[in-house]
Amino acid sequence: MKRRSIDLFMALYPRAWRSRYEEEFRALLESEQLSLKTGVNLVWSAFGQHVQTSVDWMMLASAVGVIAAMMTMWYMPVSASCTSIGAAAASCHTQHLLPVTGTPWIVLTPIMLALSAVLGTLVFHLRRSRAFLIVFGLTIMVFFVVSFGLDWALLPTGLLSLASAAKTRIPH
Amino acid sequence: MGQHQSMSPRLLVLTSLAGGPKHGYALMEDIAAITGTRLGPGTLYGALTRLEKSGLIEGLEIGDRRRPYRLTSRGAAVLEEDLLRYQAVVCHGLARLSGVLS
Repeated sequence: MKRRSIDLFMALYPRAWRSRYEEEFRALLESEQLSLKTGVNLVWSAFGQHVQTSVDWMMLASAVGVIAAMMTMWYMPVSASCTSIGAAAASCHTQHLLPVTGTPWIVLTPIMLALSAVLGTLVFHLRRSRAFLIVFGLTIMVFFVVSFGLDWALLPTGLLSLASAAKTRIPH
Repeated sequence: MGQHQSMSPRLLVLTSLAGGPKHGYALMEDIAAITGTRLGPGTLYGALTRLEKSGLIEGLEIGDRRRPYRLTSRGAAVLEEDLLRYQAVVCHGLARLSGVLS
């Protein structure tokens, strides 16, 4: 294959992949004849490498999303109750899943952060497991429906997980 | 001769490397000798990338712009597992087919 054709095909691959494999891959392509079949194979393979890279990014976002969602769900008010204290006044109190003041807050915050970080790390670590991505994504979706949106903060993470699972089907 | 399209590039690369370290071109030639069909260069390097990432193979020192790859001990264990599974399918398939053809 001529140098110009190799340059063209190499440009299709992700930069991170090229930095590791370019030299040896070029040497291999130099011994190959350019044909339609080889061209299609290289374009498809380059697309596959981009998909793998984007899955990594999507699941990294998903892992960060898990941490953000867990913290949000614990600390955002889940409900408010108001009692009338006169003809034109009412006293309202917001309710949280977790105490947000005093000693319990000081003790529970690092625990919640650690739990969120562990779950986020687990999500990223298992990003190559298509079964995990599907089960994780579907669990969030199903719970969202049956709980009338209680886990709304996890919805972006669930969608990213299912999108990543769909992308990992593409062979390269 | 079988067509590599019906076999996973992963299995073919691992099988080829079970015979000793090889660089990309040697892998393509060896797989062609086994299956009768050449893997595309993109398919080969897609498989090498995934196998290296999952620790089933490892790249050796590059020489003359070519990097040989070799099977890791984990890769050998995974290959053995895969081949035994294929063997079970092949044995059952051939036994049942002989009943159909006779």
